[in-house]
Amino acid sequence: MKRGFVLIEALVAVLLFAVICFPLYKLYFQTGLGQQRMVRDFLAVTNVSEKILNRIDHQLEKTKKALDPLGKDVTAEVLLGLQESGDWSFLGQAFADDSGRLAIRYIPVIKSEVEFRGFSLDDSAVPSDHRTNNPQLLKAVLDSINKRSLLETVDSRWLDTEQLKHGFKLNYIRTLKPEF
Amino acid sequence: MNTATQYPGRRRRGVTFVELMVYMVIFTLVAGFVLQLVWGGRKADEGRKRLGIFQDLRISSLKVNRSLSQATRILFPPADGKPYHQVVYLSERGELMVLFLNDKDNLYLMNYDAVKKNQEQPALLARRTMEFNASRPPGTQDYLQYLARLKDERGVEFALTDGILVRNIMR
Repeated sequence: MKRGFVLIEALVAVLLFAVICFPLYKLYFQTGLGQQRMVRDFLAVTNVSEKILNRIDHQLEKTKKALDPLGKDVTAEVLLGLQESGDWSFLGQAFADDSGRLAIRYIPVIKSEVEFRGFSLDDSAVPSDHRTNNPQLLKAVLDSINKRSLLETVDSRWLDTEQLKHGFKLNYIRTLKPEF
Repeated sequence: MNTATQYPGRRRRGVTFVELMVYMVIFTLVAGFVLQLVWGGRKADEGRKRLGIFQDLRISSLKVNRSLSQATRILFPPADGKPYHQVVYLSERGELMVLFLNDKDNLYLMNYDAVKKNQEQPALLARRTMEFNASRPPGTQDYLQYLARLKDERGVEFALTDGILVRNIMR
């Protein structure tokens, strides 16, 4: 007896097809696109953070003192080139050419903060075979670094177009006072 | 004369309206899925290409940063805060380096001394560069910032900006 498909069989076949193919589709395209978006945004934020760090570093090279206040939300400086009065006015000038907004144009929401704080290096920062050479000298060097330096952090957090949260922190140890 | 009278005993049957509707729904579902697949694939491919261009630009930017941060003197642009489209500097080996955008929208880094001595070709940093602006804040000797704006094949624009602290400036 020759017999075709009944409706239920056809629907089950379509359902099976959808169940098998939808996760594959999601894996190859949606997840792939999300990852591409993340890499793109990450590259853009890395460069902008580097620019913030280098511009601040250049300013500290001139002034040789920490900026007041020690922590600041610099989002408006980066996106709008806002130039407030005081120690941080230079940063807005660095982005006055609209470069910050153009570089992160595909990121809908972003927040960048800069913070200076003290830190403490101990001898674990030195390779173990160097620790025993001259422990007194090592202690003096570490004390000197701890006294003269600050840890500068550029912390950027953003939401991508799919409302996923991402973050990126750039840490830099900066000596403010000369050794001698 | 119809088929039933022509071939007695053979039953002729078409499709019912409901069957046709079901076939149409199934066809739409499958066609939609295939279209999504093609469209998604194309979009992913475009994204991959775009990301490749951006990644190349980032690598080029690292090259420029490394070379410029070791420079001993920035000859151009002047430190007046205005944007210019070229950068000329002396490398740590005393070579004259030029970063420029040519008339075909390609961004190049040229070692002028190597070009003169060995006819060495300038290094291509980025294609389809719409704009390259470099500036130095007024009165600064050792800091330079730049903005490069690019377009991919489909005209999607993206930009990269960075600032470089030049550490070997001879005063």
